[in-house]
Amino acid sequence: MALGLPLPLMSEHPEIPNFLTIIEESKATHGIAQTPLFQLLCAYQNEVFSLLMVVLVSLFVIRASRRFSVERPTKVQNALESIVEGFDGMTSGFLGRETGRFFLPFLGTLFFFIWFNNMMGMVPFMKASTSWYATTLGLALCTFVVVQITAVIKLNPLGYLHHLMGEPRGGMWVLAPLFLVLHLIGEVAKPLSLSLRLFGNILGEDILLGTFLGFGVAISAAIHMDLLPIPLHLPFMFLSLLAGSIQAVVFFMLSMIYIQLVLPHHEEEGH
Amino acid sequence: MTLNSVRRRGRTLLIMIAALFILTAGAAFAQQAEHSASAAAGTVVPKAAAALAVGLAAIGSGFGLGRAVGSAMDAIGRQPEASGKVMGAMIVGAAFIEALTIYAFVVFILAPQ
Repeated sequence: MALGLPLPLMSEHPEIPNFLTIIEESKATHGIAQTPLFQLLCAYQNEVFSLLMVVLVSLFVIRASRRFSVERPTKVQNALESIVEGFDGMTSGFLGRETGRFFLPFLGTLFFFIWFNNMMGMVPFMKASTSWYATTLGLALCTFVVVQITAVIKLNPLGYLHHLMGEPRGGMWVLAPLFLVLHLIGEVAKPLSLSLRLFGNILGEDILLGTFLGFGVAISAAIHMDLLPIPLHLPFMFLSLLAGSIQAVVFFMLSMIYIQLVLPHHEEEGH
Repeated sequence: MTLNSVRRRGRTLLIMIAALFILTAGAAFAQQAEHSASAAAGTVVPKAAAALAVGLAAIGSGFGLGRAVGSAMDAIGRQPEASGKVMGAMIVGAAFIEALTIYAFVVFILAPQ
């Protein structure tokens, strides 16, 4: 499972079984589990589940968007439009109208990818691939690259250096090297904290759900009620519903704030 | 037996219990560390110490979150029309506070058995 990554996190902790692990471990489907294709799918579980989510959501949205009409909008169209308008309002309010519109596709995609992935952890036979550090690190690195490129384009390389030195004037140049080191460490710490926050939250939820599911099954087995396990993990599902949504919002808002921090200041007066 | 002597005796007993606990806990940690070190070379942090660290981090985060959310509620109570802005800022701040516990949790996950 580790695939050379130095994070042996899988199969050590209690987690809710998904359909790949069920097929892998049950005796009835031993033949399927031996095929190379299935073993490949198992090795890339997180990618499989996130791509499955992406395909399902894209199919739904593409199908819905083919039927858009101005005269007779459907319910789905109204819902999708209000969602997009809400996100447009948020980014425009934060980054200014033009810049907000420019970054809306990136930030919106980030939010929906993370949110749907978090929700996948609560769909039966599915798995939240954000509980795998490679996924969250990749997302955080996307934000990092976008922020750096935006900074270099909007501020020019020299202006960005000036920004990293704390925008010194006059006597403040003495402290510039200190600020430069501080800001460089800060820039590296941003994607690290973004990815670790999301990863820790979702992994914690998964372990919580898996542990209490195990408790429920163990208790029902102890009182000879094997066919009707007690859903002890149900209250924690509401908790992870809430926390998963909040983490998606937080990732979205922090990416927006990091982009805003490297924009030139005079643009804030425009709105 | 005077009240003072009872108090003194109680204090001595408490100190003895604490010392015993610390000593045995230290021995247990040392044993565990030795055990894991023999299992896989280079493992230093025992799981129990990491779990304790998560708890300690959670105490600090709890105080911080209590202050942040309490102040946000005060602000909303004073100016209900600004609740959207206050909520947004509060959620981002809460994420920063909560991230500290999450870092401790990640260390706990990565700590060897």
